[in-house]
Amino acid sequence: MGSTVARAALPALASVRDEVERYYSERFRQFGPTPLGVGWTCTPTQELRFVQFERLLGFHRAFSVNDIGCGYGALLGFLRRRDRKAQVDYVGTDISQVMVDAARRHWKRVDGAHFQLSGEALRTADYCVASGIFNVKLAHDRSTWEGYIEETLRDMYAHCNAGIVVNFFIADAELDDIPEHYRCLPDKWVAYGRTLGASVELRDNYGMPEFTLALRRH
Amino acid sequence: MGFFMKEHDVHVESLLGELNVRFGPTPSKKSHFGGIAEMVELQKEFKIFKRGRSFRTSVAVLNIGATNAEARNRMLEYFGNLSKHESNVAGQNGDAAVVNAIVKNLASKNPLPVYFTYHDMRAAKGNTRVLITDKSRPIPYFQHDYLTISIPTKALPAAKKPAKGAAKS
Repeated sequence: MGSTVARAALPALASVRDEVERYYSERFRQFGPTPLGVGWTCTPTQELRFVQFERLLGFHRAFSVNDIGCGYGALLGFLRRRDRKAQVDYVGTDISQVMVDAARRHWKRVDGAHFQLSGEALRTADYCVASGIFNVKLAHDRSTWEGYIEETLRDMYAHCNAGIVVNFFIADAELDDIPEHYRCLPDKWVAYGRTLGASVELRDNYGMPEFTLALRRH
Repeated sequence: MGFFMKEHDVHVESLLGELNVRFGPTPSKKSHFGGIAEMVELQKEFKIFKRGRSFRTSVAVLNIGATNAEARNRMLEYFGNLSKHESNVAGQNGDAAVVNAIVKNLASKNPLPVYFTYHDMRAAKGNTRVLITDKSRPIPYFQHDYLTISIPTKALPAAKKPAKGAAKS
């Protein structure tokens, strides 16, 4: 988990990146290459988020994808199981070295799978996707975190040919119950997607207090 | 539970509590867990609960008890034993009754949250059965109807008598 934004591009957000790296690396050390190790309750809840990606982007039989904040590469496993004949050209990036190491070990015999640390030069792919990387803001204030999100979205959009897809915890108007979490309403990020020149599509009401956004190139 | 959970009996409440959160009423305030609405979506997409598939297998998929592997494994072993119990549903053993009740509930027009609890299997005749209650309000602080699933439990039998001549402490 964690953003892939090129380190050189975001010197002002270096401390954000470092803290996010520490958080996810520690989680991973505690729970290993499992959904819990990347912040989800179980494989089905993790994969229900991937299903939303699939529905928004409509992956074809052969495509390339950059998985930002890939963790141990769960998305790759999901894609391979959903369509065993699919030719997935996959690059996973993560801010956490221990995650990247684990992913490389796990997928070393699979062709078309490559893992790299955030900050390494990212290739352009058909799609860039990121699940859950904006949800845990830790102690950062909202505006700093939103700056981090903007940079990440801009970077992802710059590295896709067809579109990107990301998800967010939806805001609770009554209570910001877990201060470490970032929650928001879709409007802000729909509008931001449009400033990038993207065609924006929203999915929500899939049983989780979240929404998923696709930003497509016209 | 006692025979299966042994020294992990103290975790029974928290393990069932995890199930009760995952199958609980969908929070009116947005929180990280989606309760029964999330479970309905997961069931639609992945068919986690399925007739003929054990309750144990489905609970394992949901990762209940993930932070305490030993307690989790013992709980799963206990759930794996439910097929040896009868149930209060005619013609269904304990495991089938649990699975079928959940499948039916999740597929219904208005799925109810599910409350997992236990009863003392020695307390009355018939208590060795798994007990399914289709609709009731088992939790006084929630104004929700629930599907309730109660599993039979008893304490770990008293320790064996010490061998003859063994030191008494």
